[in-house]
Amino acid sequence: MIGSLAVLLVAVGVAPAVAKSTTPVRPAAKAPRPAPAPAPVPTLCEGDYADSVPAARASEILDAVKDQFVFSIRNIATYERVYYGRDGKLRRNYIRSVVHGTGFAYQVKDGETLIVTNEHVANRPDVTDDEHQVDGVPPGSKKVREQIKIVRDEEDDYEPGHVPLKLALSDSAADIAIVKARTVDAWAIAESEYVLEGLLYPRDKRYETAEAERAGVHLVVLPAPEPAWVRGDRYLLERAALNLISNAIEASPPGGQVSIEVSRQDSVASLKVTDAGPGIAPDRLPRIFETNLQGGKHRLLAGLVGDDLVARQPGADIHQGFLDLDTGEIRSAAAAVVARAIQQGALEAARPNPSSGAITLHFTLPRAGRARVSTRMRLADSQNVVAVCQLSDGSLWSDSAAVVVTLAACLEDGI
Amino acid sequence: MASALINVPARAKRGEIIEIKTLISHVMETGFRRTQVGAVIPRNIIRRFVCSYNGAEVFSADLHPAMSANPFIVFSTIATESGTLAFEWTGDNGFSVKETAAITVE
Repeated sequence: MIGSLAVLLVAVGVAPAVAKSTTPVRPAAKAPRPAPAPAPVPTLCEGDYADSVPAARASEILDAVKDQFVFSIRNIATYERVYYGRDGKLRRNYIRSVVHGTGFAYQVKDGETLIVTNEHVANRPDVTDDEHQVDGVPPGSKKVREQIKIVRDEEDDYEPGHVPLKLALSDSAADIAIVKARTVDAWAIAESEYVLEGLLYPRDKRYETAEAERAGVHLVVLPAPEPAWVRGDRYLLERAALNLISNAIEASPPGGQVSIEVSRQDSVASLKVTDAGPGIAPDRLPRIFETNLQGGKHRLLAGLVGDDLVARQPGADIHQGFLDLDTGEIRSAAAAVVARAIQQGALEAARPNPSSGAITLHFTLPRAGRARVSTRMRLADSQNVVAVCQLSDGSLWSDSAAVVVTLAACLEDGI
Repeated sequence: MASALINVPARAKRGEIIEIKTLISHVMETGFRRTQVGAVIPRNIIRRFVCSYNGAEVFSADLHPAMSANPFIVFSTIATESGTLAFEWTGDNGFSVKETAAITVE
């Protein structure tokens, strides 16, 4: 852990709670700090040719722009396979095929961002055959649906945060396609409602605990007396919490202790990570608030990233807050993820459409008899219906089913 | 006034797993729809459903706007003793409906 105090404020008006912290923290300012000026992007000289640019210079240019304009592209295609069953009747089978690729935003025109990517990512074959094969899809299948979108990474399955794309043109010979996004940097705030301790589970039992064991550090979790419900972008806060904990473990000497304390005071909930780290080196201090990412992609990597405790200002902007840091002559360091505390259910009315959850079921053991339920829900569009189940031992089980919706209707099925 | 339909077997053997079907009349307005003049139709959904067996909760569900109108939930429980199954739906705008069903365990 860095010998400093870092507070990620994700809401305005949280300064009093920070000031009340048991760890000495500099009172936070009331207004968000302006984002540091972006580092100037080096440009090619007029008339330079790519092969005449020295490799180091070219790398510098590439590094400066790649984080701003490079996106992860996901294409979800649904293929329909028509075949005769054993009973001689015509049957249809729907097969989902997902591919990922990389896109580079090169122009903004008429409010739309143009992104160049590979044709085989942006435009899947209309019909599969020997020349146009798709993994997992039998030849002779017909494409009935295709979704192209920007995602954070290949693991990102939080659909409200995805940015839909539209194919503008493609060239199969050159394997190049142009896709358009109406808004890239105006991501909808992926707010959700959850218990702050939830950021730790099951992570504290997996990643952090394993990391602490490897480092010989004792990890202590002090939960809040009552659940601390918060609202915000769970992805960002989770990243912030994960990095704080990882930093603390990394900086702690063997046999040391890292404590994670979740608390709630009035309208502020905080997840504070404390360790006995050696402190931050003076030469690294100027980099604390370094903003490496600008442009449309900044939200993807917002949060506290890396062992340099790099403050991604855009992440704070999203939460109408800011990052604050206090470096003092302290040996033990503490950092906190602070979020707006809310009453459970307060965000329900403001949930984004579509909502990520449809129904939450609670089986009371052993009286429930059988963990099986049937219900009906609305599906406005084709999608994956996912069931996640937490067992009594804390383990998780999940299954999903792809549903193709031709006309919006209710789905009745046993989940 | 919302009406609820409940299907519970009148008799069951001790220890038997019984299936319970519930259906309640409710619009389950999502809060995302708009009128013809563009005004948002306020959300009006059932948020919670609880089933208690002789006072002990055996099943509950938190419902979100994605649920269909007239929520239909089928679940199961173990017939342990004769008594009463109580069902309660609560939701927006003070919505609250309680129903009961008797069961005889042999």
